[in-house]
Amino acid sequence: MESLNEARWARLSALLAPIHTQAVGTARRLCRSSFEGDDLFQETVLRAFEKLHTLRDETRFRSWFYATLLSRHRTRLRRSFWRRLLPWDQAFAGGHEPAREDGTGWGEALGRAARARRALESLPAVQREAIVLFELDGFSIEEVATVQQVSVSAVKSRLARGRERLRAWYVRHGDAMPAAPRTRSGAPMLYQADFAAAGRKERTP
Amino acid sequence: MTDRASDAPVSAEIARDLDALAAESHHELPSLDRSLTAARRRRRAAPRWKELLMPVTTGSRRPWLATAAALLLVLAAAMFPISWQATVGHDVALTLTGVRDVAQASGIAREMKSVLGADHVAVRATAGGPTATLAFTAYVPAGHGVDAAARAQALAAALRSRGFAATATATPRRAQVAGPVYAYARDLVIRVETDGKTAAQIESEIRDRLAAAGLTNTTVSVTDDGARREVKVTAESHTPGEGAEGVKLQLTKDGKPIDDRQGVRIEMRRMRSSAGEMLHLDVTDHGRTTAIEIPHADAMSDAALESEIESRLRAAGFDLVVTVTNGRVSIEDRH
Repeated sequence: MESLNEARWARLSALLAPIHTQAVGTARRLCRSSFEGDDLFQETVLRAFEKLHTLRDETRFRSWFYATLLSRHRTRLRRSFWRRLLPWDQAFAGGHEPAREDGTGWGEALGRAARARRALESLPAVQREAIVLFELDGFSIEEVATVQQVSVSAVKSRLARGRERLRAWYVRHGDAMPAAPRTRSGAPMLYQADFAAAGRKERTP
Repeated sequence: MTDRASDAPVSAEIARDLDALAAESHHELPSLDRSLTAARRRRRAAPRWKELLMPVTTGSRRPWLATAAALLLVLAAAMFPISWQATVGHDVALTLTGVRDVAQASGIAREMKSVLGADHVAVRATAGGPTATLAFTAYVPAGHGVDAAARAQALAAALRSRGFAATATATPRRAQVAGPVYAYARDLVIRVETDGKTAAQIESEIRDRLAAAGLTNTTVSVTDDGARREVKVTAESHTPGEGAEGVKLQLTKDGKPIDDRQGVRIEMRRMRSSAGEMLHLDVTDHGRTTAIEIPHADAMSDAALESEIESRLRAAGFDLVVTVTNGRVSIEDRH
């Protein structure tokens, strides 16, 4: 039995490798925080392991895995205790914001990301999924329809309504702009630099 | 921000925020291996929400059979989703004032990156007359296993010894996290008198007393090996979380607790959150005690976890045998 499980893990690992980075990102974007997203992703991986025997066509693993991800996401949303989560605040503490090479601060970027999460959170799950998959993950409408297991017209409707809700949310709440980085004393900056780990990009390509 | 009459600025803001979300969600992604390891541990650790914890193994060095120096701490927990505040890392700020040569910033930044194990360090230089102030900042995630505050202070002290006016701060960054948490059974002390009893009798009594305390899924083994008595107990339980206490088994002789300075005692707790699993060990070996915390234990292989626990114990002066099998930790007296 143990050898069968190991074979199944190996098979899942091979199937997951090409989509792992993107899928983790999707899980994080669906959730209120990256931590919650990682937890969702691990749940999904475990579920995929348990249901791997139902996958008939390995060429369809991506859509199969994403369908599992969305299913776990909706299941978690239905659990009342998740609703007690408060939005996280990852704003840089202490007043010193590291500056990025393009001149913006990490604090502003994190603030925008947090606001985007809050806005997405206001959407029904299916609209949120459609927006994340289409706008952020580059899925085509047909691919979104496959993953959400609905028609193309249903996806279009979800995208349109989701965008409308996002606009309405930003009109109501979007004035809380993230603060631009400042020095504490207001003295002119001589220069700013970011010493990053070698080979590591600051942004997703 | 405008209303629908002028939609473009709103759409632009949404687009910028979504771009920021896309970038932020790709920051510090776990590797495939880490994701699979965590899922495997979750599978082992969550068997239908009923399993818990660790085997605890103790041994005795008492030279005669009538005594045993074993103390068992049984941890009973259940996976129970909950939300709480957690420290997810530290924002470290290092400030150097009165710096005459701003070009030194790059070297100090690299040094700070190395000391903290940070992925990147940002620096700003501001003018203040003939000298400048250099402000270095870095973020150290909790999972890196680095005491960010201590290292920041050590770095500042080292820079001061080299003539810099340096100060450092490490501010915890906290976030609301949620996830299954192993909680603990109510505090309970079970006392078993060993006087005049055989190993089999003690074993039976321990099992019965644990069952009476609500711990029925147990394995108990009491063996006499020449001049040594060994007590091993594994208990699994499912109890909604009430606190961080454990069930304690106390062996007595003539009504008095057997001196645990004669043996080894281990308390183990797993605190699990969506950020990973923290393994906490309190080890007492013949009266000496040490505490070990291993973050992200769920993402470690058995061999890696075994090696980490053993090396930490060795560093603390404890010579114990550690075995990890499918995530289950066993610690024994070597002699």
